[in-house]
Amino acid sequence: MNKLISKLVNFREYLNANPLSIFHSKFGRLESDVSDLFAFRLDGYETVFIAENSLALLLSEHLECEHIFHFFDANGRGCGIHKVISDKFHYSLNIDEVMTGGVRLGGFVHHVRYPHDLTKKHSALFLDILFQHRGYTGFRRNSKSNFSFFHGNFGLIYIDGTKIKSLARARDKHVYTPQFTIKPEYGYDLIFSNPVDRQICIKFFLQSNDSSKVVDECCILSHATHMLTIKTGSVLQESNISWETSLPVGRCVVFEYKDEYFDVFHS
Amino acid sequence: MSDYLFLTNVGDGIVNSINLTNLVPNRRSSSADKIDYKLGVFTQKLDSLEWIKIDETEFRGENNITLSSLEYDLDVGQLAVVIPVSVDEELLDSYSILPEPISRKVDKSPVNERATIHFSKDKAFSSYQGEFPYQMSRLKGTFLAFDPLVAKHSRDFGVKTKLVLINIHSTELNSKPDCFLKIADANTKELIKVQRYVQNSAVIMEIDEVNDIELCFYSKDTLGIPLFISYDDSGFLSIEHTHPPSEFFWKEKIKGQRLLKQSWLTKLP
Repeated sequence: MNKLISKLVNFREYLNANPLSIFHSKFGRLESDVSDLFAFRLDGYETVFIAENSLALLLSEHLECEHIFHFFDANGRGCGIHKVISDKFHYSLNIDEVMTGGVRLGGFVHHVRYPHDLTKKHSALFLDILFQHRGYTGFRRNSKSNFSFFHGNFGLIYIDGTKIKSLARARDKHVYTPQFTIKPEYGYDLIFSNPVDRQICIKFFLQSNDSSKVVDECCILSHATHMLTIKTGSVLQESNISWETSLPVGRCVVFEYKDEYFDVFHS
Repeated sequence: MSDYLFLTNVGDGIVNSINLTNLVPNRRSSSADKIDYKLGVFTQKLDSLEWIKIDETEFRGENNITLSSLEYDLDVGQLAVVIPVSVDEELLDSYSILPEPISRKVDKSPVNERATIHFSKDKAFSSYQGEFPYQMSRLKGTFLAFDPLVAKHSRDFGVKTKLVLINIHSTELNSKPDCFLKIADANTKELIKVQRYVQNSAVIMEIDEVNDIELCFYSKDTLGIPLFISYDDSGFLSIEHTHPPSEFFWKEKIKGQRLLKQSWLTKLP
């Protein structure tokens, strides 16, 4: 009996620590490639995305590929689809408001499709291999400068017929603490996207050596985006920031500012 | 799973620093929120096989430790490996095998045990959350990366890009044979540039003017983590690492990476 209880406890801990659908991770077979959930912002920024032509990279030769981008507004509603064909190893997409339906802040996913003759020729490969799109997103504020990039983070979003679904799962509450500090002389935007198929709630708190203070709480729908802004000078002492969500891996995109300089990275 | 962190000197007045906190990186809400550990800092000269301790530091009541490459007088390309260890562990002055880093996990929550790896040049700054996995440091391996982070279309703005390949080998070395980091045209597979390096170093390669050629970067001698640093003299700096090829795949990551590397490395000179 004790062994059974111990096994059940261990399984519960395993389940709660697993950010993905266990069924799909262990047994299921998807017919779609999977994508991280990326963020775009056009509110005084330009956003560029570098997409990978996965089959071309796998086979080390240029191959025709249709890149498909689905855009979501800040509430998680679909607001645009953009398709483009390229045979290069990488395709660079300058995201604009035509693609996003006029939306200036939101999320997007990237998938690829190959011509039937190519998938038929390499059908044995597709039995074993499923592509994952992590890509690189770049931002800049000045069109005469270069983009600052960071790589894809987490999402595992796939297309099932006409529906957009996710392998990411919400579990028990977790607290995530990145390794950077919030400094009084800097400003910050933290962009949080919800990769799971249901609403999640987030509680942000600042921690100094001897205290902890909640600075924001929100609930965001599936595929939606929330931006927490911490203005320069609003934090009086250097602090760590943490957030509590029901995601076993709850990362976000961080913009850090000082004067005309900025940095962007994933947490 | 546990991870090393690192500092290096990449030259051109770019300063590298790292920040670590004793707050647990990822945990269940009900688990302990802090973990006590200290940091040992070790370096190995390019012509040496010994790791020499150059620092040992604790949190001393603070939540964060920040270390800077400026504190350690590193040569260009010299690595300082930062190792989280138990506060009770007595660190020796030198090792031929690097101590294993402790895990900063307190429960089963998934986590990469990272630091903020920060670079600055004058007032410009850029960082990423990074680590060098202990398991990687025990393998010799090979390296392959592509060019999405190379600032190819910004030459008119005076933007330069360096590839910095971080290579940490924690097991004992009997010698340091020459290794070679290469750049090739990804389409024609023709070799463009070669640079010699040794294990336990940061290989710094300037990426020259290439117009619209797609590039690949590789070594058949060791693995490594590639950092791409783009910068200019007027206040732009960007750092990021590319994904390892295993990240192009879901589920069968190792098989996918093996097929991809085989496909490229057998064609590249």
